[in-house]
Amino acid sequence: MKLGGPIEGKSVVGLSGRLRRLRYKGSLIDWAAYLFVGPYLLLFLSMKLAPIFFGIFVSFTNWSIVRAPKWIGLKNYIRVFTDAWVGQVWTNTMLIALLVVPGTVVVSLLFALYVNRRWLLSNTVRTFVFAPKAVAITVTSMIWVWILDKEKGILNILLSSLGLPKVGWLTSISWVIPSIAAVTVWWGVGYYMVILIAGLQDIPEELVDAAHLDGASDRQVFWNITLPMLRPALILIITLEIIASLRIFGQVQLMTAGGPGGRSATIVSYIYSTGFQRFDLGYAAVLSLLLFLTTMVFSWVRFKIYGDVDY
Amino acid sequence: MKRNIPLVLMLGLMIGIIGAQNLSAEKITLQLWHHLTASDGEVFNALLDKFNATHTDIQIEYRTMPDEELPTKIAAAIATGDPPDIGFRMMSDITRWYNDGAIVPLDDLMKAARLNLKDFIPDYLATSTYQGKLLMLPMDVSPHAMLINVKHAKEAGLDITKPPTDSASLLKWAKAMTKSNGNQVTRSGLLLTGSGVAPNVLFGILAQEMGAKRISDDLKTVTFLDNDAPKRAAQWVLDAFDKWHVSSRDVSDRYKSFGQGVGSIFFTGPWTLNGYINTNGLEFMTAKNPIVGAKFTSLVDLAGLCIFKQSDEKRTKAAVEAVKWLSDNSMFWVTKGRGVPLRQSILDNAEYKNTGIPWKYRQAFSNSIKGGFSDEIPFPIGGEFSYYASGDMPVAKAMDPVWAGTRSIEDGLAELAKDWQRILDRENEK
Repeated sequence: MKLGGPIEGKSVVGLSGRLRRLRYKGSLIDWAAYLFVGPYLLLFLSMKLAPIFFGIFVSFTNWSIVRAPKWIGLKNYIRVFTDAWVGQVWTNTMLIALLVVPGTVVVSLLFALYVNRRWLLSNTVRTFVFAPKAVAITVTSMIWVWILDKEKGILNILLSSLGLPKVGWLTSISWVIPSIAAVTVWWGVGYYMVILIAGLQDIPEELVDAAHLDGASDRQVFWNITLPMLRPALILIITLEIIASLRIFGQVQLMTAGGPGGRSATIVSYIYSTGFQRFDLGYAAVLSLLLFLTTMVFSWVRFKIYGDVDY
Repeated sequence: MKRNIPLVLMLGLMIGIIGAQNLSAEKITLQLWHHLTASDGEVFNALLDKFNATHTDIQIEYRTMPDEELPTKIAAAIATGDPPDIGFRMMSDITRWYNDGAIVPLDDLMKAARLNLKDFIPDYLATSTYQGKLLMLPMDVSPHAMLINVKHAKEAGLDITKPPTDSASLLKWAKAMTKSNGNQVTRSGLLLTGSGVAPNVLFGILAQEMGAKRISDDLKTVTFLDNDAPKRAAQWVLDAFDKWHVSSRDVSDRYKSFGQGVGSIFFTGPWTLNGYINTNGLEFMTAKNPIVGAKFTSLVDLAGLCIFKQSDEKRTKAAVEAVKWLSDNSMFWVTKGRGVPLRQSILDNAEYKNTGIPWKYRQAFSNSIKGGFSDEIPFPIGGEFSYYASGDMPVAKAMDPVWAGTRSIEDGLAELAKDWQRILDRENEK
């Protein structure tokens, strides 16, 4: 292309000049910035946004990958209301989330406080607490299946040696969800502990010193200074863990396959089996959309309770 | 002349190179995808290697993928117009691919290749047929039979030469070998899990023995509740937990549990033999399923080879030759690997009993194929009717709560029949 040459009767130089002079809300548009963001934007649109819209389209069809999708209107959406399994997996997932979210927050906060105060062996504690996060969830799940086995698992052998009855951690309807939740908390605590340590270290020491000088006890300092100052980090953790809990899959698939009696089956495991084992992609798309909406509802509730948070 | 020698040599070299390329261009490399792993995979791959060693014009390049990934990968490959040449799979997948236009019917091709289809056991060849077309060349069938811990049996004073043959003797053996701590079963005489495959498979075997039939022959109507066989079968399984106390719900890994001696009688398939034979300290025997219902049956998994449509007919011809060879030479697969042969010529071959895994282990499975029923009904959604069910498969969804004691048998069976009928109606609407 020749600079200054004609393009559909207009001058290139003239066009570029006009672009350079374009304004938005009174300010000149910085095209360079958009050029830098462009590649990522393209990837985002094609890899994230476009599949979402495609998923919405697929939810109105009957599609099994190989042949073209066949439009069936709202049949998949109506099916959700007659599918009792949807209620079961949503209930299971919410129960897991109800245990995992507060469990993760409390345990990671306790460890963060311990490490931040440089108490005994704090470096070792930090390493050991973070270590599970370095292991893939598949390996973690398989290890815990052995640990939690009723007859031969270490945990039950320990209980037995203390004169306590053995527990079917993964085979009992009462214990399966708390067991999965406990494994999930154990696996995730290290990551959030690190976030909270960073948050704790951001708290100005002068505030704490001033509070002590005014006669505040450690407990009062914790509730009135530390926790409020940790609010952004805690809200971040709560948000991340809610989203992660709603998407829980690996540990359920490997530890219980949804049993016993379907009591640990989760939303994502149902989406997976519907889409990739039954090739009922239209219905799987509806379930995925429902999960997306559920996540949006939680995010909205979080926003309403905690407002906009400056991270 | 001297000046021409280098020219002649060069021309000769070029002719040689072009000729060699042409020769190698005639060699066809087929793609075969399968899901077999562990000892099964080793044996099957060894069979494929044997084919490659004995053929210069056709080679098989094989890929192993996890069982749960293979159908997705094949579907994606079909959608992009690049499927493998040969697949090793079950009929529910193969019929689906056939409906997608990706599978070549084998009837005429195998006849042209002079494969003797009459050599196959007719029932299983029929199960490899869909809409009147042979879509799969069955390679093996895996019936379920009993594995019995010999050490437990001897400790309990049982005669290992006379394994259980009916409900009464099965219960006698199970009770004798069960260990309990109060009301808690600590070693299951009859190894089950609290939910999932183990109780559902036993339920299926018993229901079929007692006369249940899952769906009508036209594949349109659920007939499962047409008699009380399913209810009696479900009650039997529940009684194993709650009345006779011979099974524990607290077993999470049935394979590991049998290997560790935490269970005494285990209904399973021949794919376990290689692993258990090599398990230190485990002494076991095999026996046919006892007749708990009206007649003997065994739950059978059927798998085989299918050929995908290719644009190049030469590839299809090569695939037919490869599939025929693999079938003709499947003695290696069914003696050292898993499964029981479906070819009468192999069953009648004296070598069959003397090769591979010791016959004393294989015999029970081999004797179970006559009278067995195919777990998967051979049509695209046949997998939804499988008793080998866990997670959100219909039998597991409906019956796992029954085994867990949180739902009545009647409600479970009603839910199962309703779910199956919904699935059939959706499929028939397509």
